[in-house]
Amino acid sequence: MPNFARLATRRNFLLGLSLLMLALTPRVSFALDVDVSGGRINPLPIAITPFLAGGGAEEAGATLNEVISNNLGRSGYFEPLPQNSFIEQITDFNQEPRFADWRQIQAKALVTGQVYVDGGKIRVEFKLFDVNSQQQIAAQQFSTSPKNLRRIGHLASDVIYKALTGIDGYFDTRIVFVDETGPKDRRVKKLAVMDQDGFNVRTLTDGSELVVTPRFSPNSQEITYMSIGQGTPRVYLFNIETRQKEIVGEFANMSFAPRYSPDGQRVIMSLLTTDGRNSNIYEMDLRSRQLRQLTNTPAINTGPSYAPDGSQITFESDRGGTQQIYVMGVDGSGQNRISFGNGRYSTPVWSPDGQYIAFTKQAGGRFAIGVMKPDGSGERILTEGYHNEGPTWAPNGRVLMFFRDTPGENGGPQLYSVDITGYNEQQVQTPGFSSDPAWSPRLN
Amino acid sequence: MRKSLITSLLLHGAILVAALVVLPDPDKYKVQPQDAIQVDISKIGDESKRKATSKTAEKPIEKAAPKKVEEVKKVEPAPKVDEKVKTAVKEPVAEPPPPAPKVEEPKKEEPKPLDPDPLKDLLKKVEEEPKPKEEVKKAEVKPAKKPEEKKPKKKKPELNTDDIAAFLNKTDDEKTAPQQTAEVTNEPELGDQDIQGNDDALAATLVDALRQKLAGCWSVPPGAREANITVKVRFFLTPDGTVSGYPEVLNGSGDPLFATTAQSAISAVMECQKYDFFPADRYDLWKDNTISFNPNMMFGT
Repeated sequence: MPNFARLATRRNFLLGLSLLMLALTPRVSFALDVDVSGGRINPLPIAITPFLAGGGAEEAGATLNEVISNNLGRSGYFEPLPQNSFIEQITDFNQEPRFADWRQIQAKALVTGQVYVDGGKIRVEFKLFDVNSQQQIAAQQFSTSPKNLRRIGHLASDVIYKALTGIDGYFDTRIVFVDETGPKDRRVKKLAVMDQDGFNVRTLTDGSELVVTPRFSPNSQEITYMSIGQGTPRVYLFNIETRQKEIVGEFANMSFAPRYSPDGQRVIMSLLTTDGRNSNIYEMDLRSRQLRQLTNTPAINTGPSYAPDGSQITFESDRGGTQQIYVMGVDGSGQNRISFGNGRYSTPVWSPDGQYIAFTKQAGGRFAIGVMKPDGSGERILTEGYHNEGPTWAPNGRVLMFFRDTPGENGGPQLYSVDITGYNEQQVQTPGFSSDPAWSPRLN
Repeated sequence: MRKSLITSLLLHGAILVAALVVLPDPDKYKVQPQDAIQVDISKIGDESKRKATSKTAEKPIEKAAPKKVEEVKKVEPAPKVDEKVKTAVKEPVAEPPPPAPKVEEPKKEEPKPLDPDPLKDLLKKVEEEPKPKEEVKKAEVKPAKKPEEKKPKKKKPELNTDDIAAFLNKTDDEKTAPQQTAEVTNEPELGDQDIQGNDDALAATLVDALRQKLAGCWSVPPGAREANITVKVRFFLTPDGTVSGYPEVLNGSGDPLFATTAQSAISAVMECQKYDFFPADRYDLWKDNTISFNPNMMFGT
């Protein structure tokens, strides 16, 4: 019995203690606290409604729809929904959409717009909504002459793209490339320019001289390119807008056109040694035209490209036995090899955001386009095949364009684009064969 | 009269004599019950169980007999708490093995995108977990076999009344925990911790369910996929599972990418409506939710 009593006492004590603990412990008010990592990376379904148009602007409305829809779809981040799936037909630009109707067709984002002619100018307004939260997340209006209509479409695409991806758009840009016509052994190569979506193609040279390797200035609509005519190769500066051409110089010992420095005041190039067996990297001040030698090794050092902050230069060199990618300071100091994969690496190009260096890689008789970090880590092959070469970056650093050659009598180079993740490879439509693409900075 | 008097005296005398003769026997009977020592032996079996499951079992060992009674009492209150348990009592006897695999299933399903229905099933299973506790009750009624089986199984110190505080502090760890729930299912000793333990297990399951649901609704902005951004969003649910008002972003940044990511997170919360897979009777568990959205899609390190 005494045992029983002791036990009973102990039990009461324990019970009391636990009740006390329950009372004293700050009981979480049972709010669920959840970590969500990852999520969907599928293209975002977006409904781009027909732009409301009146007073002769109907065609303009259709064009805008087409431009925006194509841009967003081609980016790989969006899935423009077919207009015949729409339940609600927008009839009033200022009226709030019936979001339930858009949710029903799985649209995540919704674009509405209107276009009208106002005093000889075209006026475009559009709104972007998040369907789930029923919030307007962007709106803008533009006014321009009718001939710039497609540009308005590109500008609107950039606004939508940035609002939904968090990345600067790249649609209001151009591509300069080498347009190739004629038989394979007697190609006529003209310099040409087009909008990034392949529209508005114009040739810039007449084809009397062979042109190669156009390079865009990072902050203007100016390019450099090399022209190989009857005589010595010449390097030109050429303004796309004004068509003004200026010769930088004659370089008997040059094989690639120079690239601009980030401030556009200097160019960097490689020049062959007098015996023609080696080449070294030189920087030229565009005002004084003075050359400064940055490398001095008995090897082929070529293909230089500045980092966007202007502090470093990447280039290719075979000083170690095979073509590899190197990085050095702008004064030529600290030359370090960064590529160590299996194969030969060439044409390094620093991305506009500084995060990657794109390259051409040759291994096993095939050519690949890839990217790696400036320290050589994280190499990633984006595409591979018979012949891929000459990557150029979109100004937002998310998309690369390059050219791909095909073998055979009727084969020839074509332009392609690919996302830096390696997804969404697409051919870029051009009138004929095309090579050496150079992506412009944003136009605005 | 005399006759009757004499008869009476004789009979009384006979009774007294008989009583004197018979008395020693009852004493013997009184002693015999002490053979209950045998009962003590059976209790030693219980003690072994207690040693395996209790940190503070030393003193009680001496008083094994009374304890047995107490332990049975301990178990009873648990089932009383939940009426659903009672209804479940009939079935589980025949189905002791199934509960374990059943609870494991949800683990496998987790990585896959879930429809609301599987989520409902998952939650139902958690609610039904008390079943095994009934088994416990029955198991302890037949202690003879149990002790041997349990020795190897349990070295887990199950929760005593002494451990309640520690148990409450475990809340965070239990986020990972449908698995723990599964283990618990096979442990008979849970009776004591029923209310609190079940809440934690259920909350952990709700967290997992909500995580899966939201990950399926969240379109990660491409620019955020490689960025180290975390957006904390808080929202309240109405009892029918719809979002009450508008989700609130708890943190902030001047980075435009953060704004885009935050918008996508809000959109995900709104898109995932209704949250009708939660147990209606535990609205207290899921009415207030804070979600940390993190794209976490780094590549090419």
